[in-house]
Amino acid sequence: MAATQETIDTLEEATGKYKYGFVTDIESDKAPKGLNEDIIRFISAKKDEPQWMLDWRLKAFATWQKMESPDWAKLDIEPIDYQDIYYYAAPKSGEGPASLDEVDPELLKTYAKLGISLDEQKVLAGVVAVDVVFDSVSVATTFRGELAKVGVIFCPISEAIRDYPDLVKKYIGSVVPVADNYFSALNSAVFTDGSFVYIPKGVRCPMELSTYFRINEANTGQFERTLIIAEDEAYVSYLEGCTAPQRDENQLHAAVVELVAMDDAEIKYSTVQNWYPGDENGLGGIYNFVTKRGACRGDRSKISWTQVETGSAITWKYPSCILQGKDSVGEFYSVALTNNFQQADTGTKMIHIGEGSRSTIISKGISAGRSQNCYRGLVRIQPGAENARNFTQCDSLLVGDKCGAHTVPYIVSRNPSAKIEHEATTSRISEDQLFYCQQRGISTEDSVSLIVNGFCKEVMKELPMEFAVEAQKLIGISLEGSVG
Amino acid sequence: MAPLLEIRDLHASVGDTPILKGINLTINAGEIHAIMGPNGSGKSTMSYALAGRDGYEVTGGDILMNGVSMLEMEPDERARAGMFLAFQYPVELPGVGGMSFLRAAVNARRIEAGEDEIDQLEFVKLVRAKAKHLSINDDMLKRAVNVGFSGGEKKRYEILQMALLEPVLSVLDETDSGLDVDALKIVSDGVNLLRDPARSMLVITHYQRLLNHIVPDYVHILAGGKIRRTGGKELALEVEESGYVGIDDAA
Amino acid sequence: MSASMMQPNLDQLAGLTGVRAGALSRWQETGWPNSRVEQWRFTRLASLEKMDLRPASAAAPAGTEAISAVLPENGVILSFSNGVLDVAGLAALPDGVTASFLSENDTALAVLAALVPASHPVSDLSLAVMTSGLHLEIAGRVDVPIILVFTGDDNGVSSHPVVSVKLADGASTVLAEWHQSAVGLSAPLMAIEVGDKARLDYAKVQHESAQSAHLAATGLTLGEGSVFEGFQISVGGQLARLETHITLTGENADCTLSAIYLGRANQHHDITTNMSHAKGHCLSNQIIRGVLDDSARGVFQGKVHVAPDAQKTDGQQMSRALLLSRKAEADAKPELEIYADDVLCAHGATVGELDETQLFYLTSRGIDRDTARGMLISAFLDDAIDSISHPALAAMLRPVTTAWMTASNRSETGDK
Repeated sequence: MAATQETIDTLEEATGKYKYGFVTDIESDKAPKGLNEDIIRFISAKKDEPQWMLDWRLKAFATWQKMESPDWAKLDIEPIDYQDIYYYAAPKSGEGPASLDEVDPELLKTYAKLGISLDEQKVLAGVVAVDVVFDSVSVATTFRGELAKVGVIFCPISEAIRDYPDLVKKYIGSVVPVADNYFSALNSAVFTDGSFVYIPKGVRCPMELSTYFRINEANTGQFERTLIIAEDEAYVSYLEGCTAPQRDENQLHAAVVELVAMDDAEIKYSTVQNWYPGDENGLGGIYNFVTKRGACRGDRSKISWTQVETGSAITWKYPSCILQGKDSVGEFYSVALTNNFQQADTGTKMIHIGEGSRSTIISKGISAGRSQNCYRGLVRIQPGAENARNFTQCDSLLVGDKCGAHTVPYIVSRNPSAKIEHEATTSRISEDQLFYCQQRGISTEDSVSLIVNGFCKEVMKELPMEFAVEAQKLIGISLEGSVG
Repeated sequence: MAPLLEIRDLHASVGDTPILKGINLTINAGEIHAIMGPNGSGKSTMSYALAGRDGYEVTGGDILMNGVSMLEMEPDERARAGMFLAFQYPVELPGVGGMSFLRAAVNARRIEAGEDEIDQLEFVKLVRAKAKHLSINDDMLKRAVNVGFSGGEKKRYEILQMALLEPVLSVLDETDSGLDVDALKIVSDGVNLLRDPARSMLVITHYQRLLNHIVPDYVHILAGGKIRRTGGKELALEVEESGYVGIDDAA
Repeated sequence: MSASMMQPNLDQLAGLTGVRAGALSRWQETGWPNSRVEQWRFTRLASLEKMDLRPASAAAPAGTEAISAVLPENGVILSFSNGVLDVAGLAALPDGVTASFLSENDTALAVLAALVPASHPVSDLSLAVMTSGLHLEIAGRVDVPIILVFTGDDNGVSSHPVVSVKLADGASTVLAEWHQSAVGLSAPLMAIEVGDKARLDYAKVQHESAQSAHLAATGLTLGEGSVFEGFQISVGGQLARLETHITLTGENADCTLSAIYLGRANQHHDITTNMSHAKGHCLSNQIIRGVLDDSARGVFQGKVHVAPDAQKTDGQQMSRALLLSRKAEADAKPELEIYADDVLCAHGATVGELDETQLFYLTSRGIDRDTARGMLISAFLDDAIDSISHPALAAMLRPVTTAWMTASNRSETGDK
């Protein structure tokens, strides 16, 4: 995503605390509210899908109907009425533009306002190819030609289902099975769009790939599905950003992301999640229930998750790695910041199966206002994971005395040669640090932002440059009003 | 014209314990004053009360800079008004890059003055130039603020900040503590470079040796929360010889 | 619960009233937790359901059991056989200790029920069945250690001793539990109230026979300015869970709760703790060490909870497990749940094997490998045992780990 100065200006220009809270007035094509087989058939038909895909969806729907909504460990959540949600909404003019010229100018304006340039000519520092998903459809994907030259496929998943059915069939649901959890089953039944990335053997993707997700319509759920495959010795860095308008009612976002890395392949997946968090009284905001999982299938493969989570009323998300390959590597770097009435329950699972597999978990949680912030993670060493290594560091910072910070790690070791180290701390911003910054003339709010960004540094440095700048600003903005 | 700093009958408490019991002190532009005193005399409390630290409650009297009372001002407002405190124990800021910290401090003043933020390249040049005098290398500038610095490095880094922020009043709180002879020389040379007719300094120290390097115009002896004696630089030598014994009674 | 297990004798309990009737009805409603219950995900009680047991109704014949403990010399011993108290021992209680029986005292039972872990199968079942119920009140300084010894000879019974101890404000005492029985299930329920400025030094050894299951629930509250120094060793039994809930109910309490578990064969040890800082300015510290050989499994679950307004809390916890065998498994779930901001809380957990470099260093000095391993394991455990400040309790605990190590070396040499 093209962040940089333009984005920062946008941030500063926009009014209100949540800077992306505007609604685009665009004519939209919607399926009726509610969830049933007909809706699924409707979505499938809209996407012009082959029969196998429809069958897969219907099977997933049947599975979902038999499942129970999870019992939230650390989340206080109102029951969701799944019949009161639109499962499909698309800008009327926006479906399948042949070129960027055909994209609705309203949409281009929206993305300009969000700091996303869809103009391939207007390349800022660092080339980034962007797929933009607006409600239920992908409206534009840039640089596809450039990428095709080196054999990289980067397109909306709805297109991949039509154009690369063998690849999709082979991998979809192979990392996150349909019945993995309630929301993965729901997503499998009703997913509408998302990105598909395929990096062929030996190719280092020449630019960052990025998907920008935007929920615009009211009462609409976004159910995106992303699938990234890196063949032997391939490399890709993928970025994802998310925003939604400011609305009083909660909206549902239930995504599934699957990554597959073969021998010596590396996938770096970065997220800046800034869905609308609700207002200072806890009204509105996105329910963000996401299943993200990567399979390090190949030897020496590597999957690295980096996330900066500042948005959403409720976040439930555990980007995980299944370390099957010998000497494979999993990483999870996370900043989760909650303010006001936000609730976040996030962490990772590192499943060590392969010999010599290694994982690193660095989690920084910041709680402010009346929010609750929980790290929940699992490190599991299977008997065959000879010499596996894990290092986990979870730090929580409390800003104010009305919030909560929680750490719930699960450690299971079934191989004596494996070494697991877990450390966690919880504290508040030190008064010494705050006074030191203030004594240099830096305002209280800026001092807090500086110290919190310092606290997050180990994670921030994992973000691509363009994202890091934006993420830093976002942390400052998200903390607004938390220091009294 | 009002003096640069005027402390009037200052009383301050930490918790319920009164520490400062009526300090009177006037510092004119360009002057260097030294405050000496035994442990527990209230030296650090005085520096924190001047800087406005939470928990150091002023219970009476006033602190005026250029005739304006600072008591209602937040620590950052006092700093932007030109007060600088060189900490006895500089605080580590893990993850906070040195350059971005220094830039934030410089820009805070510029923004308040209605000026543009400082150009990044220009700023790097400026910092490097000032750092050179203090034997601070690029590696130290790249690290997080005070993290992993030796005692001497921390003190030099304090003086670097003082040089960059160009305060009108600098309070140096036991800047000599923990310094060996060489480091003391570098730090004092750095401070002396900043002597200027428009600026004043308040040097707080336990020992006389610092005052060989930073020569004060006046020396005050603080004991039991009050200034007991005031004199020229020779007073420091006297204290060095006979210690603080009996100072309390001298008042 | 398993119908086969308790039902026949529970019928005899039909006439219960008050607190015990409530406990019985809760137990009958919920029974043993299944593996979907979060707190029991690492420790499954399926094997218990297959056991055919009845609550013990009589003590074993006197003098048939010997225990291997090195008990504090000047201590007063209160013996429970098959969970039934030998009341003769009460006569020897030192000045400052008053004993009474819980069974008929519903008020005392209500106090106890509020102290022990809530919604816990052992709390409910043992309260309902209660093979013996003893209440001790401690006033002033009592230097004579009080030692509760639990034995039993009938693997067809379950024992349910219930003990509550109240330390008056300013009181101090030394309390030890030694469990070495051959009953099918030993389910002791303990409630300890430590008054303001009181001090309790406490140790527990779980040394049950190889076929026994030991499920213990212990609840403590610590008053203002009180000191609790506790240590537990779990070494015996087939399946063992030592669950301890501590609530710091007054400011400036200082609490240490450390534990060691030592497992071999197919033993399952579970140390579960819940440290609840209800008031501020308290200190809690936990050191946990586990050593697992053969197919043993060790579990440590430890939660530190800090209530809103419990400012200036210092809560620390460190658990380490050593795996000595390819088939051993260590699970850990340290947990922080924090609702106050001015706190310093931290936990750490490690799982691994003996350090090869250290082993090599020792063997390069001419020490044989088994001895070197023993030295390193001892050092690993001493780290925890050295934290016990009461000499008599340390003297009681140390031989337990030493004996385990000796057995360990023997079996290892035998393998080769």
